[in-house]
Amino acid sequence: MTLEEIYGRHVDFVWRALRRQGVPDEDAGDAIQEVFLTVHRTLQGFEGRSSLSTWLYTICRSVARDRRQRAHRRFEVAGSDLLANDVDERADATARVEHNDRLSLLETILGGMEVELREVFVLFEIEDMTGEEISHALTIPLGTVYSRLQLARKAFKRAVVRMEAGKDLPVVRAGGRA
Amino acid sequence: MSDPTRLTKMTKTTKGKDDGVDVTASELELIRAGREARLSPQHKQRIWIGISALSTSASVTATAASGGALLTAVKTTILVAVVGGGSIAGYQAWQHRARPAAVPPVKTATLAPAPAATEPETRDATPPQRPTAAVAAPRSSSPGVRKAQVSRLGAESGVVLEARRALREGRPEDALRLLDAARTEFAAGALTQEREALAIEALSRSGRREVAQTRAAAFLRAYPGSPHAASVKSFAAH
Repeated sequence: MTLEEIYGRHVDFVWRALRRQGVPDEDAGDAIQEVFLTVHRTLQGFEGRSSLSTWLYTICRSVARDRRQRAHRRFEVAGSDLLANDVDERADATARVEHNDRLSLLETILGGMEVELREVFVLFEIEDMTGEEISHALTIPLGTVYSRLQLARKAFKRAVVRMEAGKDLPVVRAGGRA
Repeated sequence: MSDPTRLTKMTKTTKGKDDGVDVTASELELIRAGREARLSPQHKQRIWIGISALSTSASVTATAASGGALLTAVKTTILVAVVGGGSIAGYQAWQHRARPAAVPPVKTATLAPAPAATEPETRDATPPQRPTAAVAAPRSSSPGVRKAQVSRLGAESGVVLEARRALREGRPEDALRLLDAARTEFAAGALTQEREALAIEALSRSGRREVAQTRAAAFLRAYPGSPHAASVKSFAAH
């Protein structure tokens, strides 16, 4: 697979991973470049011992960590604008607003979860990684992945219920649209 | 041990079977929003221009291998030169050559701060060098050659940036003129896909839909896995 193909298929995943690792929006483009330059440099040595997603995620973690250290400051992970700024500019305006509203709420909820739980929840439920892949990416046993996922789901549900009770969450109609 | 069913994949029959896990419509809406969060095609294109320029530069690749502060320092210089001022200056220099009366001369010396941005090479062809070697490497070629090489890549990047600006400002014909001229000038350029994707967009926006569709089909045949494939398809469909 060429760098271009990997970029085409995985840049969104890389972007989301970096942003959720605390890379600020204004630095995201630069950090994405750094990730794919690392991919470019090490692609020949990638032997498929882990999945591409796992490999990319570990690079994202490393790049985000290095950037934090270089910046000598702590990025606040999550926030209402975490991922909401870059949806397709050609998308329908109403749909975009709805999407951004939901995304903001999601990120607010995720931001309130413990880091360990959030990471497993995001990788499994949003990024579609398998338990095995998450286990490799985070270097934790598979059983720990499952137990964290179970706790994360409960925490997520509690937060959604809380937000709905506080009317912070748009009511979802039966058809699935707010 | 097998993975539990993902919340978004739960059906009426699987709900409640994973340790009593159930999922509400609100939870699903939020998770789906997270799954659908994507960079805009415009952002992707902009970032890819930088990556393709940097990844085809052997010196920068070698420097990237070293990591750390040197990477930041050199990369910043390169980005400024290739995507920032250098690209505009390079583009202006190119435009000046093409149309001498239109633009005042641009001193190529302004492109000098990017010693590592050499002519694009075949990817992975050059083994990684030590950082010091990466910085020193351009000494093997003369400053004149180096400037010309940087200028060429910068000029091509500049065409892309300038064409995009023209499109954004509602001047698709201007964008097309630039891109058509660049097609000949940079026939084997590093940013061929970016230029062609923009040209298809410009054709579509200027109402030449049939031509846009023909070129989009050719683009998708040539670059099926391109990061621009989705935007090319969308403009071909307009």
